[in-house]
Amino acid sequence: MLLRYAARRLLMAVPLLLGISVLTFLLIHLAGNPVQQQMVMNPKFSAASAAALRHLYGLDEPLPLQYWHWLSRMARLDFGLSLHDQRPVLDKIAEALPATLLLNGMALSLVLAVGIPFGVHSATHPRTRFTRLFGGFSFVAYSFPVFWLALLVQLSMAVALGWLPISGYTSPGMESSTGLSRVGDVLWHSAAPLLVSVLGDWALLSRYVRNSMFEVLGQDFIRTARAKGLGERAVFWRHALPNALLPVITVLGLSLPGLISGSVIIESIFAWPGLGRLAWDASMGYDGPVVMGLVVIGALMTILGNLAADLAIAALDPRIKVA
Amino acid sequence: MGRPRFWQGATLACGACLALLALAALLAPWVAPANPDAIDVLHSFGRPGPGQWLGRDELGRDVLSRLLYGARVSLGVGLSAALGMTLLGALLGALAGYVGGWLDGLIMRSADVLMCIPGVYLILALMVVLGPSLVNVVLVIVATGWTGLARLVRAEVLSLKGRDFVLAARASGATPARVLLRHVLPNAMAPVYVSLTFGVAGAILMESSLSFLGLGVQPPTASWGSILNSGRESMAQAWWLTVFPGLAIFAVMMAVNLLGEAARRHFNPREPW
Repeated sequence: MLLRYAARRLLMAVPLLLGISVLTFLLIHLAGNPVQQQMVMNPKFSAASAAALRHLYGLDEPLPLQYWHWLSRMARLDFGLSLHDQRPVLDKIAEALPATLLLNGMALSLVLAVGIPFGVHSATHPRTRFTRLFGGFSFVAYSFPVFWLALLVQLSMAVALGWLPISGYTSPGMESSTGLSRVGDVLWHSAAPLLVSVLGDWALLSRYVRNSMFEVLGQDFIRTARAKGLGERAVFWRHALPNALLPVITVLGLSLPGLISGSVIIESIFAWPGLGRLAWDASMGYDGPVVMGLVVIGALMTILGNLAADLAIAALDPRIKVA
Repeated sequence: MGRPRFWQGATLACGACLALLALAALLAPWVAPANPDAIDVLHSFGRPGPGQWLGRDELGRDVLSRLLYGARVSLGVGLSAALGMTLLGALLGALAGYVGGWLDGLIMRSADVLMCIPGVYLILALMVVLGPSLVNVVLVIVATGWTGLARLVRAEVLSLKGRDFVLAARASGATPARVLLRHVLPNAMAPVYVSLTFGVAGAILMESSLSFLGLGVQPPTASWGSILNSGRESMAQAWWLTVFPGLAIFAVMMAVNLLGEAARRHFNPREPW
């Protein structure tokens, strides 16, 4: 039954993917093409060579045919060459992926490890000083612009105190080192961006967990569990917590694309060589193929993340009937 | 934080602060102590002190004056983008819900597609296509921000469509446009107000993020994000270029978010504290 549900959800993703591909194709088309750029930049560029180049890029074909060719290249994850250094876009993305995965993987684990206990505690202990304080704090954290937080961390930790490196992935001279010293160096460099991304997301997740737990604690089945004489501990661990954490799975699914796409702001402030920084560099340099490649991959990840979360919830929550 | 009185006080205080700030931005030419673009290299990186309360930047420009003029850009973009995306979202959501059929399919599937692409990437892609400018920042925020509200309004309209008072309006011969605008939409406004206030905060944040990244306003125009960006280079010698513009953005975000929270509580009083 779950398999059929999975198959149906996959099928539903197909028109979505087609829509995304049409949108991206139109954006690329609107962004102008390399031939136009040549004609503007190069006065010696003749009409004949423009036509030849147009033919080379397939730009003399009718639009639907261009779209079809583009789509078949997308299906093979062939995003073309970067306008910047003529290297395949996919290579550039693959190069930047590990740094982003490392940073965001650590950030997500920390956010879960800290955010869930905080959220649960403030739901089970409402109207205490801790909960009020935490509520206020999470509101402040929610309104805190992430780039300002990053700059303040840089200013205090790196510039004023000198405890952490200002930016970058490795220390100068350590680029090609291997082994433990390199691991330590990269981790040391990741501390500041990690702190910034955890501080922002932690408050959000805690609020979310708190609301979910609060709602579950008011449900009839919790009263039933208490009425049949279960201890508070059993009520909490067996009945309340698993149900309250179900929506967190959806959040996890939604954060999958973020895990891959990375934060443009944090990565560009801390010169972290991940996908977010790649996206920023590409958009500053009008490198269309790279930006569009990232858009397509990001959209794929979003669809996959949603799908995975829905399947996990359907598998874990017996109240949800699939068929 | 659950007491209604707290939220009434917060609404008043935040509203007053925002009104004051908006007034200061509107009256910037009269209240600003100096010309925001007046270069005075002899006094570059002047420390905060009498006459230059928030210090001077790398070209010796007065930071307080730049912040006041920047507020016009930041608040202006924030308000117009939030208004634009709220109007578009409410209108498209209402149309999708009320008309239904292929129009509903078209609008909601477009929303699905937009929601699938990670927001920042979509905005970066649009900025690459359109080029950095203030108008384009507004356009991009409107084009990507309407989807969530459209879904909410559509759901409200769908549930209102079959109610007796709507049938009565139709039976008495009102045109569809009149039924939608006079009878259905006014009853579906709760999510619109909430989304408008949170939308202002989101749009101000987005504008300052884009300007901070160099994709928003172009020099010499100042917005809070671009002032922050230009202070990055000289962080070690001029902390005030990093602290004050960020503080301005943060204060506005806090005030608008508190207002939004108050609005949300006003419309759904059953939320947990």
